[in-house]
Amino acid sequence: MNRITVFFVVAVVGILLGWGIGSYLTYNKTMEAVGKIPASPIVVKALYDKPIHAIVFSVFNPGTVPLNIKRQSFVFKPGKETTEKGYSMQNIPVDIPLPPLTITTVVIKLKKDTQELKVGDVVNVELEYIHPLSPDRYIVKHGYEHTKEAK
Amino acid sequence: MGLNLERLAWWVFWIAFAFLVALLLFGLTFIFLKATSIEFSYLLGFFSFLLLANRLLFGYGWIVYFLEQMEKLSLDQQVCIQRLTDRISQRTYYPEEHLKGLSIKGLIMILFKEYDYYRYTYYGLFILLMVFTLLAKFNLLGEFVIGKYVEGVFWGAATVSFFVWGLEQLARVSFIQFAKKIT
Repeated sequence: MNRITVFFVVAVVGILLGWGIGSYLTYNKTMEAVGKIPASPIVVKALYDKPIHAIVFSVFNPGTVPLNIKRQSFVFKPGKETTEKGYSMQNIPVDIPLPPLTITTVVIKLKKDTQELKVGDVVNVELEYIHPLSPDRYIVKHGYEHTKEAK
Repeated sequence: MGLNLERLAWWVFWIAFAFLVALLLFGLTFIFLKATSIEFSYLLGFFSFLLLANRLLFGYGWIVYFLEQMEKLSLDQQVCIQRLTDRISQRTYYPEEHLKGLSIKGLIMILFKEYDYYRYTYYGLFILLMVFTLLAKFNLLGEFVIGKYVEGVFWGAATVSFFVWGLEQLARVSFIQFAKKIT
């Protein structure tokens, strides 16, 4: 082993070291930048809760930016079995905060004197949400069809 | 004679040096302030291990420099022995009586042996840090929260270790070439 060999080996190790440091810094900076991008909420579960006569939505915020639901709207399409022409909601909650990486449950009660949902009824929900990085409003549409009688 | 030029040059040098140190401190502060959390952990590891490696870097660096100068300038043997004796008595706790009558090769061997304590301490701590980093990286310490910062400290330490290791290898190879030449 002479000096030339040492210089060569040290140069190779130096390149590998620089590679490692560069990948480490780049990866973590990218992950930080990507983590700041607001995500779109996902409706993971929707069901009709018969005992309390309400529609229950579970909304998941997969990003790290907190979101806020500003407005919800419902369009009801009656199926074959139902006689009700249109449902109206008792109260529609607004300003629902969606904290990062959590599932938030939203309960929308139907009016007391209306019928129960029957198989084939479709409820189309529009969630209008905002995030703190922009003044714009975004909309998520979710259709829920009542397929079987709730237990 | 009112103006002593040598004195003036001396003062100019020290003022320039102080300016350079102030600039360096300013730059370092700026780097630390502007760094993200990831870069901060890298800098932390780099500077703490640089402090730890100071003796080794200058020790092996001096041996490389000395051997190269001796070969290039073909220094007198007595001058070399005097320089090595001075170095050993300044940097180590080796009794001066034991250094009398030793050859250049023997004196350099004493320097290498004295730096071994620092070398083992340095590499021991670096390997401990490496083990800790791997444990954090593979999520064996519970939560994966501090893992990326530990990794940053590790990469900073690895940068310093690279220089320590390279200089050590260079010093050893230079010494072996020198020893082969004189026998």
